[in-house]
Amino acid sequence: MTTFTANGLSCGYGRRAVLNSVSFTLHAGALTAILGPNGCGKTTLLKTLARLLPPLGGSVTIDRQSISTLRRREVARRIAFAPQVLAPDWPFTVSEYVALGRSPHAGWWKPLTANDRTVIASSLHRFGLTPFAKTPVTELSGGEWQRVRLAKALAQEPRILLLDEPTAHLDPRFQFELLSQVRELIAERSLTAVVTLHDLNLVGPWADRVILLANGGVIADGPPAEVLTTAKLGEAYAATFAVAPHPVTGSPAVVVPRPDPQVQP
Amino acid sequence: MLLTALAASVALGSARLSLSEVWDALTHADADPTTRAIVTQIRLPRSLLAAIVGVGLGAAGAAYQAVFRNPLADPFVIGSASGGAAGAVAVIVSGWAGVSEAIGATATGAFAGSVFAVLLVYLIAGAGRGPAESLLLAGATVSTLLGAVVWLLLAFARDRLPSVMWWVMGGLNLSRDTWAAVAVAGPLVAGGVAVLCSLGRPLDALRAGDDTARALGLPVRWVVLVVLVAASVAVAATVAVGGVIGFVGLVAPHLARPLVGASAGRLVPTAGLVGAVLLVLADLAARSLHPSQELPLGAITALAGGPVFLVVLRTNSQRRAAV
Repeated sequence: MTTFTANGLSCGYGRRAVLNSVSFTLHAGALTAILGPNGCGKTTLLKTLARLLPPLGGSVTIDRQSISTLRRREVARRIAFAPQVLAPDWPFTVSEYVALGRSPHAGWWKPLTANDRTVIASSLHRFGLTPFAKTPVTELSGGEWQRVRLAKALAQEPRILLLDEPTAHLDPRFQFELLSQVRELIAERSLTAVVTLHDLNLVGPWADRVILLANGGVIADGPPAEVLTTAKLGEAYAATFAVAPHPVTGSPAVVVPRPDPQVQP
Repeated sequence: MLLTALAASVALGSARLSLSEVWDALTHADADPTTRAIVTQIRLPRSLLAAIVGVGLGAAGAAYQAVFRNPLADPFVIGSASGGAAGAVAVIVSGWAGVSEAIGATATGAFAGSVFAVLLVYLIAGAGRGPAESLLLAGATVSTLLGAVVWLLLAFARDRLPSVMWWVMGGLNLSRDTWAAVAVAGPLVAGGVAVLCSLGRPLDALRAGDDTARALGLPVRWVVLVVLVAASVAVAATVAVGGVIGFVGLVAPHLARPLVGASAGRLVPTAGLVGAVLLVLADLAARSLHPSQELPLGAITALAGGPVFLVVLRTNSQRRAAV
């Protein structure tokens, strides 16, 4: 089983650290959500975990091996990182885009093998994208596009899946479909999955663990019920939250209530 | 299509030949010597040169559009044109004799200037450490700067204005010996374009986004550098033999895309072929539209290419709107 660890990780751009001494160990088969206010370093952390940015301190290890000692291509065979691309601007076909996920295996110059093609076809099939194989990605809806990004990550056959805002701009049905597909994949292939989320109410039902970032570090780390509290969210987001168990699911439901006009300050 | 364009280009001109006359001239040593001279010494090398320049500009345009993720990028976007013009003008004004009679001092100057300008742009933009977009900004700055140098040099040598004009407007009549131009530009363009064609998958990854490419393990800095070197050598070779021929490198990738799709592995070579067809036809027009005088090739490509480009853009956006 893969273990994915951040050891006293500091990350940022140039010499400016956005996050300091972040440590955690993630295990296979679990979905971890990273939360935090805008600009707290969620994306920076994901990029550092995927070796797109060098750590300013500390290290990232897969099964105790530091990823900075691995070749780029070896990292890309283990970690699939889907950066935020809100709308594609180049009309690759869906199957061409998903095929990019084979590059860490096929290399940059060799033609794709029969095995590569099988993996591409099954990734498309897995997300119901087979009918769209020849469709330009620029003509997809937001939900279809997020599925294409996920299919490309799957074609990479990774051990670790890092998704930046996979539910951005999706309506509730597509959010549900996407997150269920991610959960199914995690279970099927015992992946280690990390997603950044903005919608706090998606966290309770879908994540096994939450890492809450703010003020340059980790504010809380644990199961959703322990992290999604008025006190901790208030500290992270500098806002007044109301948290209560959801009447149907029982997982923490979060709102920022509008100030009551009846109450005089 | 390229073959048809080439055949037309060899046959047509101020003296019109039939295809069978051309064929005779090429295959029979005892054919009419005048026809034979026109075909083998003038038309054939000229058409080949047009094709070579077109391949270089079209393929380089497609590669740059991928690297810069910008549909408006053309082969001159990072200074090749202004550098070439500055190099050519410096040689024309200074009266330097050059290193070889056949290639010509001005062509050497243009090639050197073109490569020098790209190098300057690359260094100013932080040698690949910044995003690819910073190369575009540095390219625009260096282009303006070198343009100013050109006009300043010209202020000291107004009588040379006509010959400089040809470099800036482009034309394939710049070299004294067209076969020599083919022999020099051919290998440089072929080498550069071959490298670009082999980079299909890396270019696709770059086109998908810097972070996406890095996440797939692509050494982005190196790929950008290799593309820059290959494309700018090919483009500098075209500038050396044909001056600054605008628009072909911008338009060819957009015309090629509806034919073969967006993937660079097919798009780059097809854009090269489309560029060759366009340039062979444009050069044919440049030398046959006016009976006694050759027209500037760059003006023809822009004049004819502009409307075609607008039609393609319109059709594409209508197709997208219909979905």
